[in-house]
Amino acid sequence: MFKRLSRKAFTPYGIKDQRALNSLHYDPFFIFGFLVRFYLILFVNPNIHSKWFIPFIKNTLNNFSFDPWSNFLNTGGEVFAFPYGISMVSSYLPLSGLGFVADNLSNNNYFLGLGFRLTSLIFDYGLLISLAILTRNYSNKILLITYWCSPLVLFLTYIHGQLDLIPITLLIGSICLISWNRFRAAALFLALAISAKFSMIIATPLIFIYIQRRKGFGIEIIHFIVFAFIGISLLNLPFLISNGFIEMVLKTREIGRLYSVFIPYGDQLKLYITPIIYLLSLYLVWRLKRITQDLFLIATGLGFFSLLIFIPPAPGWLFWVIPFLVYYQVKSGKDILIIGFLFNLAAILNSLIINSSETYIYFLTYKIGPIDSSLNLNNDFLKNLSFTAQQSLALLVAIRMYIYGLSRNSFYINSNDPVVISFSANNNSLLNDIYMSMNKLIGSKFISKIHASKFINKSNINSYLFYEDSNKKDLIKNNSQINYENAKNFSSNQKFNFTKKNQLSLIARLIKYFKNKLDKSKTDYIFINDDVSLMPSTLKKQIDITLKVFLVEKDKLNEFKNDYLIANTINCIFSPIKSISQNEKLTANNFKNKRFTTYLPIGFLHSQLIRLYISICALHIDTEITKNGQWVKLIFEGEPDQEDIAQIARAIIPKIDDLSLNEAGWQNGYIGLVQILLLSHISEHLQKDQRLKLLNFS
Amino acid sequence: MIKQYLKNKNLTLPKAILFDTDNTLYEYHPANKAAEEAAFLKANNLLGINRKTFFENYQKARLEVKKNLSNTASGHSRLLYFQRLIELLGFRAQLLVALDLEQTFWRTFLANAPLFPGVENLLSYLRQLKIPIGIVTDLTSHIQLRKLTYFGLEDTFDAVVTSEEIGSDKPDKRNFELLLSKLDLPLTSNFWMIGDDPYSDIFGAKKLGAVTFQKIHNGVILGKGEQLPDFSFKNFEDLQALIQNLVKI
Ligand SMILES: [Mg+2]
Repeated sequence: MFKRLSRKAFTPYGIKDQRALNSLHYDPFFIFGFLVRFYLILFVNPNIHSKWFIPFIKNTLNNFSFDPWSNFLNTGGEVFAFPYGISMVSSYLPLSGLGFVADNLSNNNYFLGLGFRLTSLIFDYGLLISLAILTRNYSNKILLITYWCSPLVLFLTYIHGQLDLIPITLLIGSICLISWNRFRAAALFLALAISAKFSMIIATPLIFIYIQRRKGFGIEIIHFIVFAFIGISLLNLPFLISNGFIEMVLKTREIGRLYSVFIPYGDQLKLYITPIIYLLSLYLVWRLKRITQDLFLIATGLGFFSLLIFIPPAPGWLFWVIPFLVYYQVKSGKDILIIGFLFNLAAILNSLIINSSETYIYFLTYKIGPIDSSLNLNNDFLKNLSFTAQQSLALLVAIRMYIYGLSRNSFYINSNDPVVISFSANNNSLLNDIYMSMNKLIGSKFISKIHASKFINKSNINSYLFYEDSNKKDLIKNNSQINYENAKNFSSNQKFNFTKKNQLSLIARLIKYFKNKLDKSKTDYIFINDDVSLMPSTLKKQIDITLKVFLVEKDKLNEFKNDYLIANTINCIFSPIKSISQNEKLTANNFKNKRFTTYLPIGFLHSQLIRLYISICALHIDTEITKNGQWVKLIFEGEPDQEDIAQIARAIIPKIDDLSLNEAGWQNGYIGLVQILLLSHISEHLQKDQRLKLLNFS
Repeated sequence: MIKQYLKNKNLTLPKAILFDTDNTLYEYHPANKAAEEAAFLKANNLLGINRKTFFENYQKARLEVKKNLSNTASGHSRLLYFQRLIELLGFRAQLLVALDLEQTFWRTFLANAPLFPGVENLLSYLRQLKIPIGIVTDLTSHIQLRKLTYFGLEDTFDAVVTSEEIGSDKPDKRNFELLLSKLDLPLTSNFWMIGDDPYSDIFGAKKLGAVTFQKIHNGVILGKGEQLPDFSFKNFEDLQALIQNLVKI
């Protein structure tokens, strides 16, 4: 049972990822961080542990009850002692309990605290592993430096003694589970996080938006909401009858912090800053249309940083930003390490100075803190200065995260526009098969299909086609440039009531309409069913990727003139291996005995595709370089399995996770190859730096 | 770190370096395990057999095939294992299923067989030095060539010999001899053999006078007696450093 569960849980990794995770443990930075932690949990007993948490846990162990809070208050315990819910209590109980037994047996007063601190260490390690999973394509070393060896992490958890590590670990665990599409487990983790510390609830809307953006309003988000609701209810509702729970957990002073920064509006009204900042961060995440894990984590981190800037200092809250700061540092490499380190130091200094009464630090029996009592720095100006230093560094990190992490992220820039794909074929049923396969893979919710020619036949469509009157003039001007020669074949098999001039202007307008007006809706991809090479140049500029499919009796290499192969065009040619007799009909659906030919620009995709096709599918592939030396002609034979296609796609499209594809949507055979080609182009297009594009083509 | 077990006169740059493939260039067992698991899931899906039945009969089929084809390339053929497995399970000649299981097996195997760190660097360094490099490996050519292609090493080696070409697995010395002749080298050349298996690789190549290096990692046990290698190493980086030192001399 356990084996099966663990296998299920670990399927998202291949051996490669597992090996990277294993190698983390041999890194000198890991060993260093571990030794420091080992020393700290053995010898440092944080003051807030002995003052608050340990008495609470000890009381719970002494008189076990399902309502530890009331129980504690009844024995005269302090109301601030343990403002955390049931999952925090149950996380800390087992090891503390063992320590408690050991203390009783040895007549000692040490092991209970040790067990308590050991629990923190386990969660700390869990957070490291979760972060390693989220940043698995990046440097382990930077992760270890910025998290495992972070002075702030060590200080907050092992010297200051904060417990915020636990809910944060559960939250990041939940995000990991979402990235593996395990929505029910993710919901339970979120519920555990919220029950550990109630203020985690502010992360919930962000996660909802993330799932909705990845999967639309489907079964996944329903599962998530239902399970989160059940989890939160089960973990919190039963305790609402407990007076102690209400007094200690719900009425915690943490919530009050959200309202303590405000702008006075006249004498009567206050404008609370934190809720405004929170709503702005929600909006920021909401605005991300095509969301990737990167964008989500950075936007969420940015939100938490902004909150941190506008709430009064509280060491626990510092922990909120740490995983996101680490993620951003790992992602952006070395250049932000110094700012991150300075932020660490400022935050430590600030916690030492401001929360002096709570931060006595003992090394063995030596009392080291707080700073102000030993150095006599109990000075308001200094406090303010140190606080300002921390906040300005936080602001600096937030600004950098916004500029470099978000607004210059090419995925973010490109996600504002839907990808426009023109697709055309000389065989309608083949075209339809390909379109349906893309539908299944991407999800029909995210696709709009324009059958351009059909649109024109529907006269009522004009009412919304001409929605944007301001553009009318431009279009008329553009129309005058249309090369009518090129447009000659355009309507060969269509019945039009309009002149050619009108058709083209209509299609151009349609694309504009979709591009401009559907931005805010969920359309990510527009498929235009028409041949782009016959479109006027103004229209071509709007098209991001062109897919042409030919079903021909024999491979027409010679007919492919070089100018026919324009950049961003995917040419797919289906042809029979043997020449067919005259009565025999070439059908689209039967790919047996057919071969598939495509052309790729030299240097893009082909060598990898060839290698993977041969090694994974064990099938044959022929290659030729075209006469002008710019294209590789690939001729595929044999029929790859659906699983082969999925595996090639995973290997060949580096950021495939960002596209949130439906794994079952991969097709077998040549349609699957068309999917790979198209998806590689889409992924390439989405990562392309738009500024470079402007440079090249303007 | 490189450990030396036998005191050679003095180590010099070789005329050629021969590599084993499986469990030398990449770790074999995790890949094999993942692949067997995937084949089981497929068989479970197609034929509805449970885990216990599958693995028991798979072992049985494997042993039978190995017994019939002892020490030959085909003795490792997964297609034969699966074909026999299906027969043992009482399904008659389900050829498509056998082919499907084989394809599933190797597809998953490849996805889970990343090269050891440092292998690519070492190989391109050896090419720079113009030291001929070759592969001498058991199993059938088709899958071994697929593996090399998947690794992106399809045109890295100067020669490849699989035991299918000889009809007998290593340590049959004809494997090594054929590779040397493909490299146009006399049998008495100073060459190195790098492999994981004390019997097939180390013992086999020692008979031809090679300097032998055993790659040590999870589950690989150092050869003893006749099978004791001249050197053992854990990381390819270390091996490259050793060669770099020899170049300096
Ligand atoms: Mg081997």
